[in-house]
Amino acid sequence: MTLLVIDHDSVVPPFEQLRTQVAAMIVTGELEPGQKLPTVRQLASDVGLAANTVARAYRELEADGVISTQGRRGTFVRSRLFEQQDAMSPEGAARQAAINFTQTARRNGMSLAEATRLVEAAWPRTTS
Amino acid sequence: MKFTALLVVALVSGFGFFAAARWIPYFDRTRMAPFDAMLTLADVKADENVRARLEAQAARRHVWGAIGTGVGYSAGLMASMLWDPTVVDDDGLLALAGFFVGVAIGQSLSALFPVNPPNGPVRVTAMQPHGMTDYLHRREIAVEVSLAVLGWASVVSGTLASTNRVDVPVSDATGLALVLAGALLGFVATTTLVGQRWLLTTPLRAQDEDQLVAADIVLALGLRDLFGMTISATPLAASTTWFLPDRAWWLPATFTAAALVSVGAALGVRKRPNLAPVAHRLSARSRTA
Repeated sequence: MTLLVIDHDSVVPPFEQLRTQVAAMIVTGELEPGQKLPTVRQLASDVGLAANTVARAYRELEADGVISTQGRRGTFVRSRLFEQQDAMSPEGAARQAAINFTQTARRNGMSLAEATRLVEAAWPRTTS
Repeated sequence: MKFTALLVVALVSGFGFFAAARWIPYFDRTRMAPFDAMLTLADVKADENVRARLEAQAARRHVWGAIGTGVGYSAGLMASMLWDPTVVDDDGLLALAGFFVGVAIGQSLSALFPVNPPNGPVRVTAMQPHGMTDYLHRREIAVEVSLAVLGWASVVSGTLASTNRVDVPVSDATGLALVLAGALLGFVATTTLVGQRWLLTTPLRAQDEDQLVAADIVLALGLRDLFGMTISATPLAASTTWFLPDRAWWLPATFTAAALVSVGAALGVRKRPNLAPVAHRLSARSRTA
């Protein structure tokens, strides 16, 4: 079990510390698929961050497809089984491609509007 | 004048209980026992650093428990003396209930104020949710909720019967007994549920692993203190119904059954990791490392 460490004096923004460490914990299996994560409010008070900061990290992790928020039930690590089943369906394959595209766009510093324009430009050039 | 005398008697005897709990060497010597029991039940191996933190917290818990004992006994004795003496029959059941409630609330409140809280720029967490079902067994929560419902339902039905608002075949004595025992049980069980919720919404702040393990054990013990308060209050509520004259037979039977169920739930606590989930997982990791 690896602890999540937030250093308030670090030059790395707290939400980025949180995002990268949670993602690493999921990749290494420290956080297992289907495992429930603390609520935004609880995690924020435990590590001394603002709730908005934790919410932002959770939003980005959800956008990256590693966690999912299920309404009032809470936030969970995405199940690998679900991912495999999801990837086999046509919609799931498109969703996975969208996640990969979004990650690439984010890494290159693009905004949502710029990424959307790229999809709109590519759409007429492709055939079904 | 009479009220002043009652107040003096209650305060003096309350201070006596505080002094006994605080300065009798036996209580001081055994203050680590609940922490050791929790470590065993939760299957946690505590190293020297964790034990040092727990011993400091045990000293604080001991003081808070003694204060709770005195305040609880004073309040309970005051209430029992102000009540019609023929009803409580000078048995001091309310004072005894105040004693148990006071000590449990005092000890559990100490969990809200950890010794040496983190003060550096670093915070650690195990990404472990701490809701009711993460630390308490569903059966224990069900027992607490059921006892609260039984208590307040008794108060309502006893009040309705005593004031003749509804036409039910319940004597005044039974109605009064329903109100007394129900109020004791309802108050204690509701206080337990509210207190546990309060403890669980409190941040689990730590700047290193040892502090996180100790904080988890302290939280778990605070929750068990409150659970124990409800368990100890249930036989007291039942015994209140035994001593009252002219009450229906089903009343002590119902409350005694509730007492047996709750004591059974308390005795049913077995060694299980989710008593202190964070401490257990961290301890298991250090053993396999």
